[in-house]
Amino acid sequence: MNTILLLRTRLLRLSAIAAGVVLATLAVNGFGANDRRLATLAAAYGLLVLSLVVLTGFAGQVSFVQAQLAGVGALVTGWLVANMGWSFWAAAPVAVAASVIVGVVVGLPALRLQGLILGVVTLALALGFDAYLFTLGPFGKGFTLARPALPGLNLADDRITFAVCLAVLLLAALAVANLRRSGTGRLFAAVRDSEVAARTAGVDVTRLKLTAFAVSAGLAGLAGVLLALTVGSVEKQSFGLLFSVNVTAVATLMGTGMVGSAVAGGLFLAFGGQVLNLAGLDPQYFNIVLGAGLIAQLIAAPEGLLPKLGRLGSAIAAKRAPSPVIDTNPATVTP
Amino acid sequence: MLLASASALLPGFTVIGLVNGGTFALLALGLVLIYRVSGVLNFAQGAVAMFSTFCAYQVSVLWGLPSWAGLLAAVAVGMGLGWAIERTLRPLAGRPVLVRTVVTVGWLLVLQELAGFLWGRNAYHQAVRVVPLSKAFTAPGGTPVATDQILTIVVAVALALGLAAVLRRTSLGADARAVADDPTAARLWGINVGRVTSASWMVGCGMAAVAGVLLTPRLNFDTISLTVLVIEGLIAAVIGGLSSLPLTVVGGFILGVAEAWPRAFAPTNPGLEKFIAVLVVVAVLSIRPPKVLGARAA
Repeated sequence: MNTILLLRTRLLRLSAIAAGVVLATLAVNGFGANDRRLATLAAAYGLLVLSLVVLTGFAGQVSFVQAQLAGVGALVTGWLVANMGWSFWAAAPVAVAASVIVGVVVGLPALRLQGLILGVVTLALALGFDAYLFTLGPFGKGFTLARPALPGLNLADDRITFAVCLAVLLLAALAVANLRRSGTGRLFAAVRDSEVAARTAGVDVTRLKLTAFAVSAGLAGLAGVLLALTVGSVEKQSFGLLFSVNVTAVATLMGTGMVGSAVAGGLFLAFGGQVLNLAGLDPQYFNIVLGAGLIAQLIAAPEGLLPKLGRLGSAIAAKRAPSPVIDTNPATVTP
Repeated sequence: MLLASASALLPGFTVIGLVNGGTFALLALGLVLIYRVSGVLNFAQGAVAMFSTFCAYQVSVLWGLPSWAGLLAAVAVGMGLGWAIERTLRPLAGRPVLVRTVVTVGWLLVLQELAGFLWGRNAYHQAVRVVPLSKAFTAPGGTPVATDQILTIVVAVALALGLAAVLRRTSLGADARAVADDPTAARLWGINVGRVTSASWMVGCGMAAVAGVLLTPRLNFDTISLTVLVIEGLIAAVIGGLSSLPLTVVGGFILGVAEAWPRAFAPTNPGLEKFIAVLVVVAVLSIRPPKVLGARAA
């Protein structure tokens, strides 16, 4: 009985994802070439934000180095395909694995550090990648790669590429949502809420922190692979220090506690400039909006925009249809 | 053979390292002052320095006023920014330190972009020179050391010692130390915690402005370089242990020398120096994790 139910929910979720991909692709079909490109970027950036949902939202670790982890994925893909003559599909898993390994190494300082100091160290690591590691050997020059062939799908078509990227994002989001409910996910929450308490209760904090960094780096690496796929060229400039700060800012702005932040954050990162343009402003001022938004959000809704919106939504719904259940939560009782 | 030539070069590169270290120390001092009193690491310290320096540029280069007027304007703007940042942190009292620190990341993004809007992105800007870039003496190994570089070190050391003396000997300093130790207890003693915190942000950011004006002649004067230099300031502050101001200057010197020494062995690029800075901070932290301000951080 339980198995059937489980299968049914799984099937429902997967068909919801399929429907979402089809609908979004139909919508994108009506876009111009530039908007299609941005929509595809939004899916890849969404994975980057998702990597912070796991790391910060679930496990409570701070990181300013996510864009560089994506850079590892993208640059390794580019190097294997352009210089080593690998097939893209063989290079992609190797690149993700490389990101995971780098992510675990990056996570090592987190074993002894917390909060602010970990923030400083990851920011310093981002600088190390930006200023030095990404300039080494062939990485410094960047790579160009052709769209790979996939049997049955024409990846040269923008709409197909978009659909593939969105499907990857949504499947990853589903996996992350499942991860949160799993045993590991609850242990993440234990480490996030109190490391000391978790350790006292016998939780292997070391293993969990490194797992969080590994999963997060894998997602970031996957984002890098998708960027390599869609952009067609890989340059270290796309994975710079300030972009990394932007990614962390956007994830915080949307709320790292919710998986949905990945979609919202990806859209915001990709289309933010475009929206400013529509409003008659220079899209280059995106960071002013982002920074000011971040300050305002932290003051008004420290948990993030999405959870705040969700609460507002349910409050409005509750007003419209007063529930017969007596609310015992003193916080919601109005005087 | 290689080692022999390297040891001959080491003294010269030590001097260079100390000079660069003074740079980092100058940025780090304000960071540590603010951190001690408010528990927040100001990630926007470099951005404040950059923005204030552009104000000095506006006054001294674009309006043609003397350089000391530019310096004054920069300090005023820096202090104003410090006041403003602290104001945005006030509603977040009692929130996790991390949340309050991310607010400074928001300020970083705003200031960096605003400066680009006001004074242009990526363009070359003529730096304000408080002292001429003349050679003061030649260090061992034939490395020339300029007047402004000596001034950087002197200002860093003087500010560290002066501020430490203010903290130790004046009643305002006693108030600041009380707030740093325990804001609740300080409030019970009748200390105006808000005013002390505000003052520390203003002084800390004013110091960032001084650092910015002194450093720009040696940097690429754009909206990025100084903003990003905050990372090395943070590293210097962390090496110094985030508590004592004189130790912060020592932290700056250690970082500067660690970055410069490899150059004695082989010609390196500036990128490698940044990478070494990362290795140094990771090494220092694994040997001696810093005492995080405990109760208030939670």
